[in-house]
Amino acid sequence: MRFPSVVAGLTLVVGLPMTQPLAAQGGPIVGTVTNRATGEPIPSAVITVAGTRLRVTTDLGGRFRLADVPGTTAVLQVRTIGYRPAEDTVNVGDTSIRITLEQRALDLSQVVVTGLPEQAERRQVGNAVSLIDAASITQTTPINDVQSLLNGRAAGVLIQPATGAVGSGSRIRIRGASSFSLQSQPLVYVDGVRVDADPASGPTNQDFGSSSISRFNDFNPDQIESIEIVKGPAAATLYGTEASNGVIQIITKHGDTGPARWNFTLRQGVDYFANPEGRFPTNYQVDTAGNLLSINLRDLEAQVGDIFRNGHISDYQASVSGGSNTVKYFVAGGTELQGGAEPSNDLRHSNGRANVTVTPSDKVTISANMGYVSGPTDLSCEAGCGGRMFTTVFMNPLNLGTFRKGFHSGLPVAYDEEYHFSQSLDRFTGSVQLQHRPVKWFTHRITFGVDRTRELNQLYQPLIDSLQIFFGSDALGYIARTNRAVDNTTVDYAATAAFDLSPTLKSNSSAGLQFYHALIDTAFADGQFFPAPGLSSIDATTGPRSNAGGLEETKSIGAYGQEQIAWRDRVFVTAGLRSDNQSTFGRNFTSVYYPKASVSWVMSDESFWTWSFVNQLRLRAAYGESGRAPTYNAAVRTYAPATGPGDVTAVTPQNIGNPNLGPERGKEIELGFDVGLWDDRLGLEFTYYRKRTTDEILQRNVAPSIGFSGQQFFNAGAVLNQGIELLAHGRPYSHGPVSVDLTFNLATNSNKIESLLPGLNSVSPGTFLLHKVGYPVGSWFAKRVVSAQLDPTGKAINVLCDDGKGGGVACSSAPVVYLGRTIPNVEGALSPSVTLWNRLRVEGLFDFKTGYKKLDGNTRVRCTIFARCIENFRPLEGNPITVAEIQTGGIPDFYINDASFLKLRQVSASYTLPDEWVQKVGASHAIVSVAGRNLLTWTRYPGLEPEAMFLGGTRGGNFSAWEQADLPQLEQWIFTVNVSY
Amino acid sequence: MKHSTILVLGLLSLAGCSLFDNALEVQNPSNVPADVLEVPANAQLLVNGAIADFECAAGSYAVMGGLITDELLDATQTADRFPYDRRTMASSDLRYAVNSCIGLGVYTPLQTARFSALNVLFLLQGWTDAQVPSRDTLIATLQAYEGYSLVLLGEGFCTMVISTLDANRQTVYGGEIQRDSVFKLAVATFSDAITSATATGQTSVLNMALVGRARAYVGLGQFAAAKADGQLVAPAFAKFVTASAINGRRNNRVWQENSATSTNTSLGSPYINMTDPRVPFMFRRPDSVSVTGVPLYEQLKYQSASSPIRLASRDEARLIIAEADLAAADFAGADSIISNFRARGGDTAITSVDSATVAAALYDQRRREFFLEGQHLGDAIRFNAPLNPPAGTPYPGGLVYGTQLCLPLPDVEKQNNPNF
Repeated sequence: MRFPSVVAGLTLVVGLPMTQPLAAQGGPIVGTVTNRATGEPIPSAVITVAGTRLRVTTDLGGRFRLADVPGTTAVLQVRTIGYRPAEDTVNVGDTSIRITLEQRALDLSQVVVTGLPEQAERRQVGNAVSLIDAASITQTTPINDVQSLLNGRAAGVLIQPATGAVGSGSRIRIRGASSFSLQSQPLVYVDGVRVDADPASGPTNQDFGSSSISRFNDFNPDQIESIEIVKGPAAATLYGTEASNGVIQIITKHGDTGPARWNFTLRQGVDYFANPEGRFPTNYQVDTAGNLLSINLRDLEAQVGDIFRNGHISDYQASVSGGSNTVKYFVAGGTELQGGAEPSNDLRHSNGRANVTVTPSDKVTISANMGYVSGPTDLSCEAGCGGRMFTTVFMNPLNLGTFRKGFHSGLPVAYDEEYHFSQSLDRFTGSVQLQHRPVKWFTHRITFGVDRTRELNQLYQPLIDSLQIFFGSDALGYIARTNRAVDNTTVDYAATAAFDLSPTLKSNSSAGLQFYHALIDTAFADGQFFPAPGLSSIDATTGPRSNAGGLEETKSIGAYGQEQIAWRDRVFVTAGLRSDNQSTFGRNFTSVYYPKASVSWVMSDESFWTWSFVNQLRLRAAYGESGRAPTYNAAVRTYAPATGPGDVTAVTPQNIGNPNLGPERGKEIELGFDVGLWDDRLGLEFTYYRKRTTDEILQRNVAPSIGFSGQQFFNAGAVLNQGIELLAHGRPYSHGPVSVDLTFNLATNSNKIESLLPGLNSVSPGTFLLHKVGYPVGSWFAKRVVSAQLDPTGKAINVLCDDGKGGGVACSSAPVVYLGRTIPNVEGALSPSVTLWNRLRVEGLFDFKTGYKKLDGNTRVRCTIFARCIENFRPLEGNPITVAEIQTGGIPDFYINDASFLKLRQVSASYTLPDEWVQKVGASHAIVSVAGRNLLTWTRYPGLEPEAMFLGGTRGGNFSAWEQADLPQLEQWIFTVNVSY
Repeated sequence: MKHSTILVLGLLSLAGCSLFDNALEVQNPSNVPADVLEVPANAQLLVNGAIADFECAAGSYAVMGGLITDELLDATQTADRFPYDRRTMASSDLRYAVNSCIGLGVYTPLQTARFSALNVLFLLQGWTDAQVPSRDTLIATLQAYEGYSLVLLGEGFCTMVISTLDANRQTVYGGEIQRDSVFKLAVATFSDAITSATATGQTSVLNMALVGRARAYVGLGQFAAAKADGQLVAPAFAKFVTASAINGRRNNRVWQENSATSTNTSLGSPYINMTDPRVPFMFRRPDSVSVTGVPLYEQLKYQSASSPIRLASRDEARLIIAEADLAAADFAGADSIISNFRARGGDTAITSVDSATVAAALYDQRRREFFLEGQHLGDAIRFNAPLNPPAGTPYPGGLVYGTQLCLPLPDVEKQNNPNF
């Protein structure tokens, strides 16, 4: 409702008068300034004619026009922030000048806003801030969602995709795992407003409580200007409680002074399950005569044809931006269609954005940012739910020749007909910011924003009598609908007073107040059994019905003060303090305080600096604290409403509570340097971090004998995370029409639990998982067979398990031993790109993760539950240790495997069309590109895919890396045309 | 101006959040804080809750006991249900240990039911008759339901933990105890219920407690005491676990798992070969089999979500008396009672004086009479009945049948109870 009126209003804005063109009284020079690497236009570049006072600024399309230039030739000098200056001699009268600028490998003058009371240059900030130039990336590379934008582009930001289904999300972790029981997701802000970024929402189509739709991916990458990431307490102190996992700030595009610039993007593509025949295992069974039978994917395909389809991708986006000195605007909208590899999986989202900045005077700036997304996502039954993956991966040779045609349970098409998981989405995210500068030395701003999400999550199972043969009573009909409303409200006030203490000493004093309110309102209703085909409403069901609802409200308030002293604009010392209170704290717990301090020293600005090849060097150090609040209602002992005998009102114990519960406290020190070498052709950013989280919020199961189910939260223990982050960007070769760029990032993470409760050495957060002192958080622990023999019948004998001391012991009395981490300890990415003739750019992205293990649930179920492995029938052909682990009741070591991998995540080729071509259609700039994703994987992981896993629920949760009938990441090819007018 | 502005900002920061404490008030209507609820005015509400907890747990126990024994066969493709039907349960299995009663949990739901009754009992004992009308009746009722929770925990589990409350209502963790000890606690609780019910003239509660105590005595092997209680049970007495179609938690759990609209389970081979009106069933349709190849049979004893499940009855008391007679070698007495029940199924009378034969006949009548009522698991363990199918038989879902009947004390208790 709100959005159309906004669009209408902004349509008027588009027509507002723009900056008047320069009066032309002499020889003109007209041209465009573009990025040498990407070919995209550079706005706000300043062009000066050497030896004259002539000077203009490029518009949004990178265009400039100089009039009245004397002489026949002129030397143009071009400068802008973030690029190395350029100089070019041109002919007066030339109206198609093209000047390319090289981006600096290190730019300390970049402005950042995240984690600060007001925007500041990077040189002033004592902590690392990762910046992703989303606008440039999406110009040449098709990016499906925000998580793909982050993946491999920021050191220390770990993206763990879980399923290849379109619309699904990823886990995001920054600098390892520091919470035992709370989600490890960072806070996400969009234009200063805290937003819902739940990575696993929607219907539980993976079963075991696991959903797979990501709220983080609601934000359209085409509308994002940049993403800033601050990674831990040292940088996120001013965000207070909740921020110790870091903060991701999405900054959407804004208009700039100049005439309206229209941009249209068209994408067409395909995604598919690559090489299924080579990835699905062969399954075995014996018939009644004892003959060993086998079956593989080709046998199934011979029965039903292709099991997975090629999904179609199409994406249409349009935007217009521009403005005057008073009003600037960016308006965008589009529609996105993605089909998955399973016929029942697709996404159809429409989106819109309108951002307006009004500057009525030089003292006041008002900006309004509004984004809207709407549309359905249809999901397949997957993982624990069943579905194509499930019925295929557990195929059974005994079912060949039956109505199951070799599949384990239902036929693939039957699953599509019977199980319809879907989510309808309406989401509005908007903010208004008023910035006021009443006097020169004082600035304050207030931001008010809301993020309102409305989901209708549904599982619909029609009455299809003929499918009872596969699905039993499921095929008699069922409908479940959950309306979920999530409202986040942010109010953020900040004020800064700046004054000079002396000619060399400047002070910036800031204070702020933040209020955050979250409301989650859920209403669920379901009904079983439809009396006739075609019915789909709950009212039409004839069987049991149920309903439930819930309202969860949390509030937090924080206040902070910060003082920064700058000495000669090269040494910046900052100190601050934040105080928080939150409704989820226990009643015996009061406010919490978080301090911060940092130093940034641009050493290369010092007069003693004589090493010219190091043209920029900055040293930085930061210390800060922040926290993580308990979850909603974790502190309170509660009852839940229930129904008693005779359907009278009753209550049942729900939550045991803990009145002493307080927030986790993260304390982090960060040391690093940024260096620009050889005239900023090579830039390095290095950071060492050491984060200690104390008062960990730990969730332990309650002993059911004390009358409560579930878990209790309490504060206990400490976790240490430390590691390094390295970002290197350089241009190793640039000569004539060819330039080569390389970007490499690497992050390591060492994670160790230092303590739990006194006398408590370990706590289990899930199956085969332990939080154990001295080991990484949420590690795999289980028994492990170290030696075994097989007797002539194939029975495992002389089986010994790891005794934890380097020896062997009978498995019945063996302890569980450490098998490995669940979270990678090293990850990184390499992105090479080659630019030819400033027009053709070929780019790749390799990313890798290593040092962790994943549970291959497909092998677990095949070998230890359904008995479909060769070892179940021909043990003498198998590894005696694996056979022993299978026969000893399923000791899991053989299916918890190293999941390290290297992926060719992306390859793209983009071509900037010649100006004369695009001008024929009245355009000013056009790029065509073709890109592929998830093209190659190098791994020793024996399962279907090293990345596939449950995203949430009891088999996903915070730590478990558990794959079971999850769809692997899909291979994808997309062709894109981007045209600007 | 400059300094005053800075001063104001500084004060705002220092004031921190205390200025805004009221702004942190929140509403969470789905969760009621205990200290608001545990007041005398809510006594009946709390008692209703404790009974509802037991009824849901008992329904789940009836299904789980049926799966472990030969009453029910699992017909799903959900692997974590297989260990019960396959008799290979391990203490690390989660479904029986931590699931809610809707999800076929038994340990946590029964412990919750027991502890709910105990907690409300303590509250009632701390309040006055003036504050709570019919307080003694509510106390007797809770004692009886607490006793039944103990009986089911004793019958179904290999060992048990019984945590309690001290005089200040602080939790006292229990240690691991054997089944006999659980039955003794049940006897003591039922005795309290009998005393309370007798004092208040609550005959229904009295009979319920008498049958319960007799059942607990049987578990202890104290048959004379069991017989004595059984003989006091009023004719035609029957107490049911109620159910309702209104709310999923109150559905008849057996019906939920096996009915015209649910093929989660099928019936075991002994029952599909019976022609006994007490064991009504039907074969679903020609060639109807589950994904694991289990032929699908539908029980017809509970035909709706609101069908009640019998918890205690005069019939049970009579069969307990028969068991006591058998233990005392009073074969005539046992045969007489058993024959009466055999007649219900159309069988001839039994006149055996062979202990094993009479025991087999008694076991057979109990499984028919109490078909899908949550009695069979305790019977199978107590009578040491042959396993059906035998151990080693291939299990339809994979692997082979095992020998485990009693449910092990789950890891969730052992790992979180400081006494372990």
